[in-house]
Amino acid sequence: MSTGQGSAEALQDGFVALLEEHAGIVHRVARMYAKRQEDREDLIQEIRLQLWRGFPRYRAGQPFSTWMYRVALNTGISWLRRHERQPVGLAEAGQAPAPEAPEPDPRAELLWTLIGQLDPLHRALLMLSLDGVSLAEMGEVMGMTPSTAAVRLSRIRQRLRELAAAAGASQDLHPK
Amino acid sequence: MDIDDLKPSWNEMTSKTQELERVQSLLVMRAKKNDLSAVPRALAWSAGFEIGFFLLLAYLAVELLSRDMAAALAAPAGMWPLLAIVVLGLPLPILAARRLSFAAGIAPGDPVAEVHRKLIRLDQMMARSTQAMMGVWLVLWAALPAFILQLAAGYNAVFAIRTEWVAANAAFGLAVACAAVMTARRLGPDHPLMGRVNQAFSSQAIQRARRQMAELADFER
Repeated sequence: MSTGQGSAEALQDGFVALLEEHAGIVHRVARMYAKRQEDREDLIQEIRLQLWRGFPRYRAGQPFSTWMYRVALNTGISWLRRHERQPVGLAEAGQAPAPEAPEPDPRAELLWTLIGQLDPLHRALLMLSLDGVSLAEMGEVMGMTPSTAAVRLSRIRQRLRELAAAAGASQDLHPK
Repeated sequence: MDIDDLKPSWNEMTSKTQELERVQSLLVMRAKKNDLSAVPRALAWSAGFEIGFFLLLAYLAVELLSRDMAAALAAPAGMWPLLAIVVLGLPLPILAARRLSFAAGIAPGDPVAEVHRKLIRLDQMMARSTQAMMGVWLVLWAALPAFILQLAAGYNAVFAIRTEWVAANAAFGLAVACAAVMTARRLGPDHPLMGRVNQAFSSQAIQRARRQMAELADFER
């Protein structure tokens, strides 16, 4: 794909097609870093805008998903850093990025509780792992070697075990 | 408990929401495709304020000197106020320009850890600029009413400033700075009353950035 040539309309059509193909990445990142539904919508808009602005600089040789993960995660982490500084009620502080209405599924509740207790970079790595991204691509996205990514994932596993034990999570996470 | 144990819930959640949100997001995308005005507003505002404050100070100094240099030299505090205006005001636009240039180099398409490091560094720069700005403001706040007096009534209030007043004002600025630091330490960085400026002024923003940088180094090991 050539991003530097063609009309603006062709560029836009190409962008929309790629965005449509990988739309899930944007929504999963927004879900990862924004607590409330209206915040998620706001973050989705911001990620999409950053993708559109950065699209002309996207290099054709690089997998689109890798570039998209980078932009989406960087925007999500940046968004979280900005919003962390704003005063929040004590009830909201440190909670999971769950939607306003409680999740009817206890497994989903546990998932968001655990994710909410990880720092932004570990959340990013966990998300990549949950998405089934390879260690090599994780390294590309995060800016580290695959072996370092593997070590970090191992530490995240350990941390999740500790958090789950602390939360008394003995329930089965697999769907019946 | 393992990451694999979380995958079924993750996949289920993803499939439930993705289709609905995808349709909605494409509609909004088409509506907003030309909205490219999302510059970091806080960054632009703070830089604009610093550069504006410096231009005001520079205008005041040049105006006073060019209009009546002999009167300026013969004023009760001599050249102190004008010298302070020029020397203390000069770093503000330099810091602002450096920060804007650094921010322009942050590309969202770069690796996540690298961007994270630059964002922390930018926070440090913002906090240091805020400290510099507050420090200058505490000593030179009188420049603003002097500027207004000069514009409105043609009265050169800076000429009436005495050396003692300059010293007392610096002492007052130091006292306010100490009070801000003590308040910040008492309330803690996460207290809702601790505004961003107060956090930056009391060095807590710099300390937090150092802690984040250490966490990032640990993450990359």
